[in-house]
Amino acid sequence: MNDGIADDLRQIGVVTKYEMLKHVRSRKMMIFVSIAVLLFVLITALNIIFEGGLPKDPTKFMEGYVSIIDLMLIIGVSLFCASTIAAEFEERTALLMFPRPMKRTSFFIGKVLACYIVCGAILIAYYILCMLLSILNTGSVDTNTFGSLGMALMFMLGAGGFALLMSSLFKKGSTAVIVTIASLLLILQIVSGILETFGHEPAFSVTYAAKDIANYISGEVTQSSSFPMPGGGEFNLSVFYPSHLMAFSIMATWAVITTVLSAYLFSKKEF
Amino acid sequence: MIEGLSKKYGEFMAVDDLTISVKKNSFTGFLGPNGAGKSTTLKILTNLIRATSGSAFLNGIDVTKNAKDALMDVGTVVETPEFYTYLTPVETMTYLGKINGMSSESLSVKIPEILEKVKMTEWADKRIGTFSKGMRQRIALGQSLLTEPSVIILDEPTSGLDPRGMIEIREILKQLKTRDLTIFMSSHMLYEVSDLCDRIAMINHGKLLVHDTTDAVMNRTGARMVKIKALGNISQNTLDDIASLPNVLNAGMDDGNISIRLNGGDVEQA
Repeated sequence: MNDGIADDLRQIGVVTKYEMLKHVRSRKMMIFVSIAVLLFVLITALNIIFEGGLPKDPTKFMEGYVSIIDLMLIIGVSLFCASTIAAEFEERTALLMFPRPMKRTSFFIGKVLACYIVCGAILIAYYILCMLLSILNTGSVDTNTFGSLGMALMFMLGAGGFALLMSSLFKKGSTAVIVTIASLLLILQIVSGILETFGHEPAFSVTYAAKDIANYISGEVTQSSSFPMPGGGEFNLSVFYPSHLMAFSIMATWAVITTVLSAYLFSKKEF
Repeated sequence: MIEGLSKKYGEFMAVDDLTISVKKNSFTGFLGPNGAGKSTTLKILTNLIRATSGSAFLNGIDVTKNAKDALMDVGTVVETPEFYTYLTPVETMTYLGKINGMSSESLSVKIPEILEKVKMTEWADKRIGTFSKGMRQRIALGQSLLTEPSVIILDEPTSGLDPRGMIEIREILKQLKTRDLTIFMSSHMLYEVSDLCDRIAMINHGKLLVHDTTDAVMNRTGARMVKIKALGNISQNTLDDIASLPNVLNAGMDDGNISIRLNGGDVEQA
């Protein structure tokens, strides 16, 4: 391997290690772990209170636990990715790091990897916990859970790329976090909802693709229904679900475009 | 070596066709008032911003074209850098040292030495988030020495420190003069530069005014100016009395201040 590339990879490894250490010790790590634990406890408690116990069917069991994974991941990438670039400028640590004999892209890749490793580790831990509980409660695990986990990881990359882009665009980390949450949690959801109401599949939206995280287990397909309108005519209502391939493609496209754009902006950013 | 370096922000030329050649193993002060273009120049040298045109060579490598290699043997303190608050000084220096390719063995020897030098040994394993500005600046200076670079670039290293902090940093800088180091330090304080540096490059409006030994620059400018704020009216007789003192070129009023121009060397002016 070329010495230059080997040195770049070594530096990426160093940055990743210390960025992870920072994340693990940070308050946002505690917040994200607390949210994951809260989600797990809440779904368990709601099942016990309203359904009289946890479902005995492995598919039904896992459906409940992955139903709002996309929400958890939006919070996760907002916490880890949306501030990681902006903070270097806002907190002036760029003055320490940029004069190092290291390419900006190596620094960027190391930072991004650390965000995804930490966020992904908590996601995987959540799935493992759910699967263990499924084994204890139902005696097995729905094998589609692994597909769901794969889609959740892809969504993390797609939504995380967008968070990174916001982090590169805005000077303040808090602004980037707010814009990321508002865009992924509100704006895209509202636009997708409106389009679906008018019978159009929102195939551009990463949050629409995130439906496949739960749907990988529940196996819903797009359905259209017609209702007679008072005074004549019909009202058509469609509930869209992306296919696995479509969901994967949307998430991958978002991940690649937004991450590359973010890396470009970061490499051009001046202090 | 800086060659024809320019940095333009819109229509404003922050650095205007600047050319400076810094001698090896010299301690060069980069002097100028606020807004003169010092920090912009140093930020180009340290890969924080890009030059509009021109070149800046560090150890013969153009930092505007190959920043990674150019900065390999360079230590830097730009303004007051902040540190990752969740890391300790030892962890921070290990992080930075490893980026530079230092081994764990050499870091375990070097870091305690550096912390001793900047008087931060007892804080080695405390998280930097709790440190004062002066302590952070000492850590900043320490990290610039970590890899034993041949070139050190310092941007106003005493800026924002209290008098005690300034003295401590200057003491450390004076110790560095005894080593084979090329130090390029910006400052807007004439006293600081004349006290520490053996050469001075003066800059204003992004242009180099003079670059020579400290003594030659002091003698070339011939006079230093002292301004004293006057609380009451100062008569012409008083000004004439001041002007008649030895080594005083002239004395006059300038916007409510008594302005006294001095000549001669350090001893005479003192």
